[in-house]
Amino acid sequence: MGQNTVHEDQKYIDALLQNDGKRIQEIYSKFAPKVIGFVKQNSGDEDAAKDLIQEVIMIIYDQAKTKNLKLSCPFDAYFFMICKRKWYSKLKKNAKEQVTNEPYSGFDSETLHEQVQETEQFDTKMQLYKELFQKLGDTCKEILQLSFGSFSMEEIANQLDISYAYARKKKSLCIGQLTKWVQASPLYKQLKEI
Amino acid sequence: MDEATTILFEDYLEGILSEEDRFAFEKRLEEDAEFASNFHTYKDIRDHLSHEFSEERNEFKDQLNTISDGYFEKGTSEEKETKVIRFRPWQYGIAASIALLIGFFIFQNAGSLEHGDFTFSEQITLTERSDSSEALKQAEDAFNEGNYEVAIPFLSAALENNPDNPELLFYKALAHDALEEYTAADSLYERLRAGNSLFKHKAAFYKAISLWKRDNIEGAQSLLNTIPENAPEYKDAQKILKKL
Repeated sequence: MGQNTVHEDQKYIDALLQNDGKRIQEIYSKFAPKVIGFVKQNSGDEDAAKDLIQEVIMIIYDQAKTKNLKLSCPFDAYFFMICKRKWYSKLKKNAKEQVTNEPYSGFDSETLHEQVQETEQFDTKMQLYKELFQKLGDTCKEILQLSFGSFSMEEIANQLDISYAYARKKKSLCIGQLTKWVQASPLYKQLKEI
Repeated sequence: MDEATTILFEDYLEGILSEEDRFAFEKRLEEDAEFASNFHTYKDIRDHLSHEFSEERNEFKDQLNTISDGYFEKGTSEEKETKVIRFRPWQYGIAASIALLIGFFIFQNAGSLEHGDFTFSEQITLTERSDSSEALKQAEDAFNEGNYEVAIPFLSAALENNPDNPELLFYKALAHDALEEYTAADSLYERLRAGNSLFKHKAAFYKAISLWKRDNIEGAQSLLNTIPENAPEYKDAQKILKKL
């Protein structure tokens, strides 16, 4: 993807990165109506559209923050395509049908296709991380949550009544445990092969 | 991947390895494919966690929530505005009796406790000392005027010089709370509750009020129960517990 030039709509991604309220409102007023219309036509209501839009903006924000997302296609098409495909996969899940990967169709350009695919893979991987995080023990969860939140390692050690050295060691062992689970996951292997 | 390797990864990422060790580590990354692959997965997960639990992400999420609510509410209220209700003369009588009834209910409820009775309403003073920074002055003014959106960035700026100041953290929590940015507020309340400052029980008390406001009565009760007898908030906490 590196060779593609950055699209002028990168300004919307930058707005998310800077938590620029005005621009984010603009994202809603410009791009939400189309998504709402689509969801309503496909067995959903306004509340479902609201949740979907918020979920997709969070995914794009997360990708922008951690993976330096650079937009090489128009935001409109990119955003709508992700919302649409995510909505279809939700409908399928609810219908308890077997979830098969939607063929990547209906893209008007190869750049859009690549960009959407990249975001979806990012989303799948994050879902996997979150799911495995939930399987950790309570101490691990607490240490990780607090140490990456606004707490210092000293405060955490104090709160959990453990030594500073142990808290530090435990933190890396907990991430190590997650690493092992992630590596053993078939889904992760699939993602790596793409 | 053994324990020692995991700890080594963490030490490297935290930048606490000696220059010599760091050099050896980077050399191994180039030469040992398995080591490198383990490290990249470890780092990817760590980056994810560090972002997922960051205060910055919480703040973004809260603001997005507010914007989303605003956008979707506006849509429905516009629909409502277009429906003009026309009154006929005989309907005025009915309207008047409804108004009377409402008045009666308000009167009836006047004696009972509401979460609004306990909303933080004191004027705050952050600038007692002569060397107070401009950010503190601005934060104080904005907060006292109820202009919380403005107060928050100034509080954050003041916290940069003094990241663990419980007083500033407490006011920042209240400001987020007032703006209904609950993820950010809760994370700060929790941080104060974990510490041992003067604001420990205050944070528990105001978080409980906030949960009450959000109709999380059980959450509010269990927090109020943590407030010990010697805390200034104890009396009010007990009063509310009786009512809930």
